[in-house]
Formats: sequence, structure tokens, C-alpha cells
Amino acid sequence: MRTILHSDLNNFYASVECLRNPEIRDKPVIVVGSKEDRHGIVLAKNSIAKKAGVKTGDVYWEAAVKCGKNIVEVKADFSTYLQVSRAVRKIYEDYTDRIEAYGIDECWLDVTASAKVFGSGEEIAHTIRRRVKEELGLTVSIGVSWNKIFSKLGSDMKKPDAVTVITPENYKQTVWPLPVEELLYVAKATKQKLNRMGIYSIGQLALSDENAVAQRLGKWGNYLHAFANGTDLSKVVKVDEEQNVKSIGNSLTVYRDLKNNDDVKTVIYLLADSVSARMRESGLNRALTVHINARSADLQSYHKQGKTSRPTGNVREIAELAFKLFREIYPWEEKVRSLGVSVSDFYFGPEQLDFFGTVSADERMGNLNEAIDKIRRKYGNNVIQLAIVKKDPRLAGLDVKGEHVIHPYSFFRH
Amino acid sequence: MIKYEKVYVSVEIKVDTQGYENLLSLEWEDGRIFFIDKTLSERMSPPAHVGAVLTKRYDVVIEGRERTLYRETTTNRWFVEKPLII
Repeated sequence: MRTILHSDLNNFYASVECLRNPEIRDKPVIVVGSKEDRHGIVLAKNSIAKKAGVKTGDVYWEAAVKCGKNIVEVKADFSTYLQVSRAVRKIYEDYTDRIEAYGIDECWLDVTASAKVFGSGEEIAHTIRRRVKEELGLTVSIGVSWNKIFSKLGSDMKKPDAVTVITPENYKQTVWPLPVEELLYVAKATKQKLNRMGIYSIGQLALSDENAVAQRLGKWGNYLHAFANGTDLSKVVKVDEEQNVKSIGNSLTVYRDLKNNDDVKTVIYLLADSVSARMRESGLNRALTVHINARSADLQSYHKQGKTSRPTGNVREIAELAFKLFREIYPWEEKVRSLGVSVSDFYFGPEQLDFFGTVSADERMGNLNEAIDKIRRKYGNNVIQLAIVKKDPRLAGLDVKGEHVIHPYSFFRH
Repeated sequence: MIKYEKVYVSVEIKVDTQGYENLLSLEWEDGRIFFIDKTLSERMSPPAHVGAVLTKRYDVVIEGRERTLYRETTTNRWFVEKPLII
């Protein structure tokens, strides 16, 4: 049996801000993104603001109404959060190299092999919890179990600064009574579908007829049934900063939620344009893999990657593949809050021409890009844009190339 | 009541051929120099009273008395927590 920890930094952004500025510790603190374009969406809050009813995704004024005039609003500082996140990861690395980051503040750790050296999963969890507190001044809550899903549920059960162990002996008492929407990937629409089948708790889902659930929810039905029974076998995949360097990407939280495929396509083109320009800047002209990341308004993440038909750095090819992948994974149960497009597997070999493509078209595209780059270097990124982006004047006003937003990857990354 | 203030200081460090750092002295805000007799310990630890992230704590002996210095690992600036009686 495996030993898997899920470690969650409690109120991460807000905790870092309180460390940096202890005077705000006893007040309701909210961390907001860009104030201009999303009117200060709450990205994180401390426990005082949480008690007042503030939710991630609230608009600033909603939070202000809930908390009163004591509220402290801090603008998110992702580069510091990333540095702190790396320092926490360094502590994890003392216990295992099998670490999978899930966003900036959560990680799975597979300590199956190291448990022989450092003690049981629970002991390792407590050591990590103590060290993070003593060395960095932050608290984590950690779930310990034999699969990723239950360890993630465990990390939510007791917090802050706590460890919860879910074993084959106790999961029916601890996990099964939880409402079904606590499971990863059960968002509002899925919850409603399950509720209509009479399934309200994780236990009811586990004991339900898998085929009936699959009939209602498609392949997600099978996944969720396995999640509820603790039979999920997905591995803790090594994911680290290194991997981010091997890809070039851009993501964007748009000023309004995207409500249809046309909106999404526009933003994907905007992102692909920036990715393509950054590829040329870095001398990594052609890539073999395109990734799409989408986040819904209820903050579920979806991710898929696909191979290009040939090594490419072309805006249209990147965008069209990204859009195709998006359509394959996004269930459209909620509007889209943010999108990310990235490319990886850079190709340095000789180019094999597409049987139906022509050299001259490629050359023309290369010349065109070169000209566009020159114009942008001289006059700024937004002076020349794709026509599709012009459909929405506020989108056209965004300079994506500068933006830097961090999102959790999807659970199903491969 | 005691309140603490974050005071940045200059420190003199000698790096030996092995790459180890030895703290030699610190310069207080009024310009006085205090020699560091001994470094007792160094470890990652947040300051108890003032704001900072990712700090390394150095327990040292200055003129026979134990004192604590902090280094912000992100900026490489050094500071002490200066107590003020109010």
C-alpha cells in the first residue's frame, strides 16, 4: 500500500502577507488581484475574513460589506508567494523526491519509500508540519492516506496546523459521511446531477451502481466512483519549477467571465499570440506540444495537452489546437474565469514539411512575424494585434505578455 | 509594554576558502561597531515580533551577551528586532 501526503498551506497568500506585516494579523485580510480590471477579486483571505463570510472569488466591495471598515486589502505579490512556496518545497524534498505541486500552495508527496527511513506517514507529516511552522512561520494541514483523493480530503478535515490520517480501517467513518461535493471535481452542476440520483454523501456515491453514475456523468462517473471508494491509482507525478522553465506559457484572468466558445477562442488567440512572440524571443521557435488550462467561475481547473501535427510556433496552429483541446475537456457547466495556453517539447531538429503544406507559406509567415516583432519592439505590444482580438475592445487593451498569473494544474495532467 | 522595531544593520562577514561565512561585526544605526565574538547557531526561522518573510536567524554572542540577528534570504538584508519601552 502506498503512503501519500497532501499538504496544504493554510490561507497561503494571506498568511504570507501577515508574516510580512504582523500588525494586520488581527484584522480581516483579503488579498486581491489586479484592481483595475476585475475590480479586486478576492484571491485569498485570512481566517478572520473567512469567519466574516468572505469567499474566494468575491468582489472587493462584497468583502468590504462583510468585514466592515477594519478590512485590510493587500495586492497579490506572486513573486514572493512563489519564493515562499519553493522554500516549503525544499522542506518536502528532505523526505521524498516524489512531489507533485497542485497550484502554488498544495502538494502531494509520495513517501512510500522514505517511510522506512523517516517513520510512518503520520510521523513524517508531523515533522513537516512542525518544520514549516518553525522555519517559515506558516502553518500547513496535511492529510495522510493511501491514495491522492483521500489524502486531499484529509488535509481539509482539520486545519490549521494539523494532520489527519485516513486508513482503510477508518475511511468509512471519516470520508464517507462527507457531502459528495467535497470530492475533487464535483462542482455545482455535477453535485446537482448526483443529488438528483439520490446521492448526497461520498459514501452513497461509493455504494452506488457505477454504471448508473457513468450513464449520467460519462467517464467522470467512473472516475468519481473510484475516487469515493479509495481505489484511485493515479500517481504522484514529479512536478517542479524545472518543468515550468521547459515550457512557455501565458495565462489570463479576464475582466469578465467568458460565457461561450467564441469568447474563449478570442482569448486563446490573444494568449497564443503572446506565447508565439515569447517563443521567438527565447529562440525556441518550434514546439511539439500545446497545453490548455481553463479555470471555471467556481474555480475548478481543467487541463489538457496535445501534440501538434508538426513542430510549430505559428499563432494560428497553437491557438486552433488549444481551442480544440479546450472543447474536448471543458464541460461548460460554468463560465470560464481564466485561461492559460502554453507550449513545450521544443524542437531543434531539421524541419519535416507537412505533406500538404508549402514552404513558401511558412516563409511568408516567418517574415510576417519578424515584421510584427520589429513593430512591437519599437512601438509596444499592443500597436499591432490579431483582428479576432479586436472583437472585444477591452481585451484588445490588455497587454498579456506582461501578465503573470499562477494557476493550479488539473488533476489529470497526463 | 515593549514594542519592537525592525532595524536594518550592516554586517561584516568573512567567507573562508571553503565557502563558510563567519560573522565578524555589525554596525549599529548610530555608527557604533560591535564585534561578534561567536555564532552559536543559524537556522531558518521567522522573527518573533516584526514583519519579514524567509528569514535566517543567527544567534550570536556580542560583548559577552547573546543577541539575535536576522537575514532576509530574499533580499540579503540584515536586521535586528530593537525593543522599545512605551
